[in-house]
Formats: sequence, C-alpha cells, structure tokens
Amino acid sequence: MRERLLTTCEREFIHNVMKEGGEDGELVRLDGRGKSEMRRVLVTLGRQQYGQATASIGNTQAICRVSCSIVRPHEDRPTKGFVRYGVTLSPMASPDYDAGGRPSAASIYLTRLLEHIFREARALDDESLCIVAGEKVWAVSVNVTVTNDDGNMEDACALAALAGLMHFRRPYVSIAGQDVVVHPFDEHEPVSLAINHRPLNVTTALFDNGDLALVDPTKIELKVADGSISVAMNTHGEICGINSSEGLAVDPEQMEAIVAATKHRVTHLFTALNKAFPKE
Amino acid sequence: MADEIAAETFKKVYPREFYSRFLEHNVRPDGRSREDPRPCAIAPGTITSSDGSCLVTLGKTSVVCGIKLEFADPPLDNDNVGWIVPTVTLPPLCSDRFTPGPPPAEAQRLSEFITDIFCSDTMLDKHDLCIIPGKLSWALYLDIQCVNYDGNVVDACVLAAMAALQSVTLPKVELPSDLSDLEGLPSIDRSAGHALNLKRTVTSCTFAVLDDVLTDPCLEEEDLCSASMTVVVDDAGSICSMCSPGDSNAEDTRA
Amino acid sequence: MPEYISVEGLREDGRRANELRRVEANVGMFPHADGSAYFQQGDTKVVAIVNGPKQGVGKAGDAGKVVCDFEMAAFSTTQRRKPLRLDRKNAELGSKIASTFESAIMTDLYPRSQIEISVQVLQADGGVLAVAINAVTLALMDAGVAMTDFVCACTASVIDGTNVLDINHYEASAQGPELTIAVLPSSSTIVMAEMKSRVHGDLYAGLQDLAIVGGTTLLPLLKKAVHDRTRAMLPCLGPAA
Repeated sequence: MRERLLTTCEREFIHNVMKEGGEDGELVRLDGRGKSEMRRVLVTLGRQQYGQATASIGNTQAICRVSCSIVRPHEDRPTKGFVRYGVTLSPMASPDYDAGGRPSAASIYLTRLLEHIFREARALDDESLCIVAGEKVWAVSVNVTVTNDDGNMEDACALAALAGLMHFRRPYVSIAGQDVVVHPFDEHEPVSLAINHRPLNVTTALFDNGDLALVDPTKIELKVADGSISVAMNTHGEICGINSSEGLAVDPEQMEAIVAATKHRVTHLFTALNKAFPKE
Repeated sequence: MADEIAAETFKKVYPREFYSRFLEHNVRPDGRSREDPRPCAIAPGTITSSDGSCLVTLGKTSVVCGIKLEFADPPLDNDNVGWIVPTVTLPPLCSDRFTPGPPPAEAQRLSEFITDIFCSDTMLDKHDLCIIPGKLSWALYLDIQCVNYDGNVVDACVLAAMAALQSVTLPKVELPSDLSDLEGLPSIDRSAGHALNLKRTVTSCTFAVLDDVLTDPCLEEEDLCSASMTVVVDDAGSICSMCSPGDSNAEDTRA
Repeated sequence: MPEYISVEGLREDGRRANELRRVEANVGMFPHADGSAYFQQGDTKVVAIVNGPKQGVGKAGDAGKVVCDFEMAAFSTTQRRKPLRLDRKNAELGSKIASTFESAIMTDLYPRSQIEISVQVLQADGGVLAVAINAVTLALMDAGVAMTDFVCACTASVIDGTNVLDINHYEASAQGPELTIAVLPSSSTIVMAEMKSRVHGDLYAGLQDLAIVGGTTLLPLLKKAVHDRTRAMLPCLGPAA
C-alpha cells in the first residue's frame, strides 16, 4: 500500500510547534513532551513460555519470540553456537507494510540493527551454546514482530529482543558418554542464556540541519525529520553500536552531545526493563 | 566538424552499413585489421586475499578471476577426488544491459563454457585435490567477475582462469601420521605448498562473422555479427573445444 | 596475544596510529556508465559506477531518489562468500551508501528522477564501507551529478588503548570498536555514522575527531583524482576549449 503523504499544513504545523515552545520557553512537542523526554515504556513477559516478551514505547509495540534448536556447528567454528535475528514488519504495524514477499528495506535495517547491537558487540556468549564440540550446538532464533508502528521501532525492537533473551530458558542437556540427553522442563530446571552485557538503543531524530534533536520520535515527527541517529549503550556506559539513517547532516559537536546524552536517556529504558524482571 | 556529426549519425542509423564501409578498405572502425586482436594485459596476483587471481584486460573488456580453496567432503560417487567450481558473474556494474536480479543467461552460458574447459580431466587431475580419501578434499572455487563488458568476454575469461590457475599454490595440509588421531579439520600452511599440476595450457580465440571473419570482436561487432565462434587451443596445438552460440550459417567454419 | 602495535608505535603494516593507508584512485575508466571510479585504500579495492539522473521508477517525488546496489565479489574476502539471492549485509550497505549521498546530492535539482549507483568490492581488507563511499563520490563527480561537497569517509578504532586510523582486516579482528564516519570536509558535517562493537562512552569523542581528520585528509587526494581526469578530458573537448 502506498505510504500516506504528509500534507503541507501538517508539516508546517509540526515545525511551528517545535519552534514556539511552551509557557516557560521550553520546547513542547505535539504530544506534550520535552525534547529529551521518552514516551511511556512498558515491558511485559510471556507467562506461558519462556522467551516471549512484548515491549512498547508509547504506541509503538514489538513482540519478541526466542526459540532454540540443536544443529551442527560450522566446520571452522566447532565450539560456537548460532544466534539468528529477524525482524518482521507486519501490515498490522502500519498500512505502509506489505505482508509476505521480500523483506522490505525497513525490516532489513531493523534486523541488521539487532545484529549490530547484539552480535557484533558480542552481547551473547557463543561458546556457552556448545554441547558437543564439532557435532552439536544450540542455534537460538530471535524473532521480533512489530505490531504497531508509531515511530522509533528501533528502540522497541532492541528492548523486546533483550527482554526476550533475558527471559528465555533453554532445556538442560546432560552428556552420558556418547549420548546427549535433552531434559524436558519438568525433569530438570532449564538454563538461562549467558549474556555478557545488556545493550539497549536510543534513537534521536534531527531537524533543521542538526540544530534540533528530539529523542524518541513518533511516526509523524519522523516524517518531518531530516534524519535520525540510533545509539546503543549498555549498563556499563559502553557504546555498542551507532547507526545513522538517511538525510543525516549534523555537526561533530552535536553528534558528540547526542552520544554523550545517551547514557542518561538509556536509564529510562533500563528502568522499565528491570521492572519486568523483579528478581534480578 | 560537420563530417564528424554526419559520421556519428550514420553509425547510429545504419550501423551495419557503417561497418561494411570500413571493411571494404580492410580496416575496422577502431583501426584494427581483420586479424588483429585488441591489446591484451594479464596481471596475475592482483587479489592478494585469494589463493590465486588474475586481472585480464582485452581492449576495454576487463575481467577479474579469483580462486579460493576450501575444505569439502569428497563427492558421494567418487571418494578420491576434489571439486572445481567455476562461476562467471556479469554484475550490473559491467554494462548497462544487465540489471540487478537473477544472473543473466549470458553469465550462465559463460559459466558452462568455463566448466567444460577447466573441469575436464584433460586440464587437471581431480585426484590431486584429494587430501584424505573418503573424508576430506579441496574445493577449488574459480569466480570470474566481469568489470567491464566490451565484447569477447569469453576469451578474457579463459585467459583469466588459466593465468589464475597457474598462480595458485595448493597449501600444505598438516596431517598426523595416524589419521585416526585427527580431530576436526587439519591445519594448513599457506607458505609451503606446491603449484597445481596443470596438464596443459589453453588459450581461446573468438571470431565473428560480419561481411568477413573478424578476430576478437568488440561489443558493437558482437551485436552486429551474424555468427561467432570460439576455438580453444592448447599448447600442443590441438583443438580442445569449439563453441558457436546462437544462430549461424554452416558456411562459417573458417577458424 | 597478537601484537597490533609494536613498542616503537608501528602497526602491523608499518603505519603510525594516525596514518592513512596508501591511496590509489582512477576516475572515468568505464565509458558505458555516466560516471565511474576505482578507489583503493591499502588492499581494499572498490569499483563504483553511477548512472543517472534518469527516469524515476515507482512513486515520483519532487526530489530525486538515490539507489545503490552493493555487491562483494566471491573472492573478495579471506573466506569465500557464497553469492546469495538476498544478501542482507549487501542490502544494508547499499541502503547506507544511498542514504549517505541523499544528504550530499542536490536532489531538488532532479525531480522525478533517480540516480543509480552500483558498487563492486574486488578485495575487502577492512574499511569497506568507507572506501566504497569515497569511490562513489568520485564516480558521482565523474557523472556530473550536482553535490554540495565531496563526501569523504574514514574508519577509526581503539587498539591496545590507542586510537588508530583506517584499520585493515587484521586490525578489525582485534575486536575493538570500528567507527566509520562520512563527512562533508568543508563544513565537517557528518552525513553518515556507523559504529560496530563496543567502546566506552567517554572515548567516543576522540574516535570521532580522528575519523573526521582522516576524512578531511582524504579530500586533497580525491580532488587530485578529479583534476587529473578533467585535465585528461580537456583535449577531447576540441580546439574551442
């Protein structure tokens, strides 16, 4: 389906709202937020099975399902397991997305974003997924579906994926001689995944050639924006990935400021995540 | 200046006639005689990350061949041999007649042609590629990428593949004296090793028929010709292969 | 423990921490395309081709569209890459390159048109995205596409506590952070930023500065390639030029 075009008066209205500011001169966005405020973040975990998590940021919602299976490892990496990421944009999310067919550019971008944040920053320990070196390893599959797109799908997908990975439990495996026994959940307590560090993503949209930066943009703000930057950071203050979108044109100082401010902004996301895991 | 414009227009409107006018005087528009090939440059070893490579330019046509050696299981029907897998790619980059998407028919034809020449036992004994009979052998991937498509890509591909194969060093495989001690894959030493045992050297020559027989046709000549033929010859002078794609008359057998 | 930087401060290929690799550029080698360029930094070799502006496909907009098709040759990496129908990494790099140039090309001048970029990597020895962006800049210049500035890209990393510029594949295996930045050199405006792996937030500013310096250092080399090409073309314009 064709993307709904933004009318000129809508575009001007949003621009003017951002310029005028509220009572005390501070900028107020369409939904009443300030420049650096994020929307309400909620993480819920699946109760029926492990590895299911739903993350919502405002109206944007993403659901993650983590599953695993036993496969043969690569010949030249006999002790490493696999973790595969995939993001699907269903037509539920927005009439802009088509069902089935080839993955769209947007879903490829989101999948690669997850791969950047989790795989390339080595958030999960591949070696802990090994069962029998050279023969059997775990292959973990992280599938995220965006069920509602109101802007900032990047952060929602990353949050859903991390929550899903933290919630997931794989079956306990015992090795008796040559045999590998996979114990069902009622026989032996399942094992959680070895997560080295926990990265989450904060996206900032840029307007007016980088002069104005708004955190956690909504869909309509994104339509008016020049471009956006996504910065992923973990609880230790390490940056785990930076990705820029099209139309970016920003000064180095503004870029540094955005990256530096991520440390403060990402705590909002971690607070919501930790609420969902009371015992941690 | 007016003459130049007239010549350009004539070439666009009556390309066949344009060529005929030149051939009447025993010369082609690019200045060559009927038998002259274009200047050719062969540069082996350009891609340092591969096990053997070669860049060949034939006039404006240029192709790059890269060879990678990987471990593989031997074929199910023959325990003692390895694999040779040639592929020719014609990406959209090399010419505007190719669009992104599935490989064009021309690429598949070229891949088949190269496979026929280089995978036969008369070129290379596949037993040399076996490491441990029944368990491990080499797979030699020969990837040819066309960088600029200006006619007679087939000769450039044959040259590139031949030169690249000659530059390959088969790494030395460290095998323990008792093979049952071997766990996983053996280590390899790329610095020590030996060249491939190639039984012969081949070159090819392509001819196109356009009023007369022309050697090494450029792109315009390929598009206009009524028939073309490629002959592959080895160092002993015997003909290894002949190929004549597309519609051609039976009278064009002068090689 | 492999040593990436020696005691004297030299890297594996003999460079100092803030030195770029040797650059080779060639503009306009392919006559069939509107613009073409070959760019090499160290052992990373990339060919780029530009066709356009031409008729736009799909929804017509007021500004031109930039599309990029990115491919890596099967022999370009140390481990052979199997050519796949849909290669996600290639699709991602293609769209990253296209979005980088959306900011630099004056797309308002080309309504309802599209500019097609085609990139082919012949050898990948680190910094592939950066070298590809530099090659595409030269190809766009050769095609005569209007741009606000050159786009220069460079990588930076941290190895053994030292910030290093323009890393190769061996240094990338140290698993340090890899920051790629594309800038418009005259204004130091960043048009693309990508970072892989982890780095502490406090170290980011230093890395960004180094990458921008690398990009601005490349500018005279890119300019020279374009000037050489123009000088070679001048006699072809005829006696009136």
